[in-house]
Amino acid sequence: MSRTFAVGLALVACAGGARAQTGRGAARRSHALLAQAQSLWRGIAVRDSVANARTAWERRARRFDAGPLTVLLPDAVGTETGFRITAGAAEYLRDALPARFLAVRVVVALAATGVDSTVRTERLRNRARIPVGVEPRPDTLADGWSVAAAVAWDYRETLDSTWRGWLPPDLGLGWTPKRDGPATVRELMRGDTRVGAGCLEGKVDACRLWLGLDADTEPYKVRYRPRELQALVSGRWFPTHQSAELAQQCAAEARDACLRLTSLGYLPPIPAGPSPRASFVRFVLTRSRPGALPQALQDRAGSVGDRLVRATGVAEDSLVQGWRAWVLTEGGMPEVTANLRDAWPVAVFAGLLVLAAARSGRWR
Amino acid sequence: MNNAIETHDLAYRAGKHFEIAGLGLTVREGSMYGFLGPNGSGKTTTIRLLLGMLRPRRGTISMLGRSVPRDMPEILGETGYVPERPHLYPYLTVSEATRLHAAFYRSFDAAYAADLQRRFGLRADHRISHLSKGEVGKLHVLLALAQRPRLLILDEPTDGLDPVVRRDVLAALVDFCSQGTTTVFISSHLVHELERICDWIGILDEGNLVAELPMAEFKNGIKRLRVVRAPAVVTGAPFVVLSREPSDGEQTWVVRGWEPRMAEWLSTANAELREVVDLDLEEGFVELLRVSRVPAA
Amino acid sequence: MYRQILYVQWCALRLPVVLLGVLAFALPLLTVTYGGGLEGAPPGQVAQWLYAAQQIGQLVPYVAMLAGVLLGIGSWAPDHAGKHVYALSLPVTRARYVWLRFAAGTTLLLVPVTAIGIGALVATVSVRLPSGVHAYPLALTARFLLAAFVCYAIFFTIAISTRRAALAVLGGIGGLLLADAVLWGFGVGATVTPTVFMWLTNWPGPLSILIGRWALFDV
Repeated sequence: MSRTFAVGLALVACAGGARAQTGRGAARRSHALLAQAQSLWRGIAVRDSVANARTAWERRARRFDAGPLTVLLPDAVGTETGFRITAGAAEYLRDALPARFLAVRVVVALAATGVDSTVRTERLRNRARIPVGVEPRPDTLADGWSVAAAVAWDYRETLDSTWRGWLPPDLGLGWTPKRDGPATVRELMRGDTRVGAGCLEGKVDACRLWLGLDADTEPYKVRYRPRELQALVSGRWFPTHQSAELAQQCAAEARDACLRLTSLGYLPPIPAGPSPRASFVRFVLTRSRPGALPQALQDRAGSVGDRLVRATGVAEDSLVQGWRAWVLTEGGMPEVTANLRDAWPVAVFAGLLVLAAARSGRWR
Repeated sequence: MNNAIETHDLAYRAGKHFEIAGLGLTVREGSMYGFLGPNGSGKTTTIRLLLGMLRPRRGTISMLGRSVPRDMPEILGETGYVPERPHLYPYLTVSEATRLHAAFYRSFDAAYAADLQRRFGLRADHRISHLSKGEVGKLHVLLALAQRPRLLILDEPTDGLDPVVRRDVLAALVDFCSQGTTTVFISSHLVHELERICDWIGILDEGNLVAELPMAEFKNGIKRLRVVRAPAVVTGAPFVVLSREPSDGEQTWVVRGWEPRMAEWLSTANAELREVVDLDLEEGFVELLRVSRVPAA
Repeated sequence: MYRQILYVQWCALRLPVVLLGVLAFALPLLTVTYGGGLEGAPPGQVAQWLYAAQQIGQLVPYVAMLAGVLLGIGSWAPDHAGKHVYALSLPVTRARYVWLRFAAGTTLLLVPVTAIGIGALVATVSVRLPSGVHAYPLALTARFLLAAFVCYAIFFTIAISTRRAALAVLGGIGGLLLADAVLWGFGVGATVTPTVFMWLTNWPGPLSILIGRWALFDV
């Protein structure tokens, strides 16, 4: 507002200067106005620089630790919120990632300033930085997850291609039964592939293929039937001319075109989407010993299923059956229930209504 | 003697134009009380007040020695009620309606109900919605009588019925009352009907009780007199002049509380009594109503 | 007394009760009819069948509501027609009469409830379910009972309430809408009606039973 006022004042002074040619008194007046505008402008510049300095001070990086996890957040986040974000992220990552990976990483909020000096003084110089978007006034829960997801993403990049092809971007660590269970069950119930329908019906082999736990030497041949690939192609958009042409041919029942299209990597090799695979990760995390998942993730031999079997010490059939039961009942959608919890509000409300009906209204 | 019904200062208002103000009824136990009044005078409203169906603005009601509405279930257990309009569930048959009614009354006499059903010519399997108006009226009376009540409240029970049905109903009523000491409170605007069976009479007009007296007193005490040289002002008379009208040089008086010896008073007033005519109940009723409305007019 | 009132109520409501019973019996069977011959079915049929079961299941609370509304209002219809004169002349207190009517209506409510229970059991034993898919005949029947009962209680009370009480209810609903209009007019983001609706339909709200899962066959 005052900046606008100063600019206005300067313009008035200039206009006055132009007219000053007509008289000495007018020239004096315009000089005075110009001086006033310059003074105002200087004041504004000082105020802005103070504000910028304060912002820079507020944004300077500050270190927060939770276990092996180290996070640099803007100072404006505040002590308590900073610790909460860090602790929340550590909780997400607990038992999922090896501690030695976290010990050589530092998570740095993009909004933080003076990171280099902080890294130097805090002896974090040799650690690789993981950037994460955390605002100076953060939402504790969401930003805790942002930090964890950034770390998980970074860790995923260190894994071999089998894991990178199978794991969801956040390793599935954010999957929760209540929030994500219904989506997983819906996907399972969609039954648009033979293996998906078979898994829903309780066939362990079908579940293994649907989830992509098997050795994926020929994933499209083993996990899909030709007709399913055609159906998969028909609902997709292909970015290149070649892939679009192949997709058209595939949809027109040209099997070779379908196979060529799969070789280009435009179709998902695993029928199950990220949500069911994330639920599998969460299942392994919650039902096996601590350290089992990091061990499996470090394993570089065999299929995903083989690695999980070795790490958890549980047979693959049991693992798959356990996951399926967990997702469909406990971890999935709520069951069709009618219990005391459902009954008492009905009973209380109906009782109150009938009492009211019996007491009020007509006389007597 | 106890009173079967007693009200004090009973007040009720329905809308802007109708009001019962300070009604004081006294119905003696064992009596047959005729509750007379023109249409819209408040007879049905009074009965609904007595039965606790309406809430009075003030006043007290006592029935069979109990308080209304506090003891209503007990009172209704000993009270038979025939409403003005039939209110039985129309989809029930006669026998089903009887069974439903019997379930609520300990004193219900099923044998008597069957007897009445036969006398009234009601078929057990007939649906109420298929019955004629007279048959529905009979069914209501049947239900009320079969519960062997101490108090019977009948709200225009024969209204709209043909003479044959009316006679059947009244005969059953008289027959029932002759068996015991049931108090009957019967409202009607059909004066002749009450004249035959009632021993007490109350007359209601525009929510006010105009008169309440034994039937004999009512019938004998109201006379029409033909008087020659009637005094201009009647003062100190031992009877009440309800109305006086001039006709052919003489006057026609309607008086209440007349006794033959009172002719002497007319002589002392230099008037000549030409004729004393007995009025029937209807004429007396009409005269009473006319007199009661004069101040208002 | 109760038996007689029940009989009277049955006479008045037998047609809707029987129709509701038939409808309630048919719904679970409809699920089976749709998904018959599951053995050797092509892939995806189980999933389709489950989807259909859920769609049909969504009709169940509506039938329960219909049963509650019809029986709730119907319980008083004969008395309304006679302006309550017969009922008020009976030697029972108002409270006892209301309870008699309520109990009789609740008993009649058991007809569609039993019908859906039998229908659900018949449907359940008539199919061989794939593993992982479960039948919920008892839970569905119990949910139907609770949903129908709460609707029945609401409409039973509304039907016997005085004009003043009915106006109060309508006024309350109108007040909510008016409050929303005023809040909207003043540019306030908050709304009242959806909040009240949420309160009613989220546990432990009295109508929470109407929300949730209603399929006879589910995972």
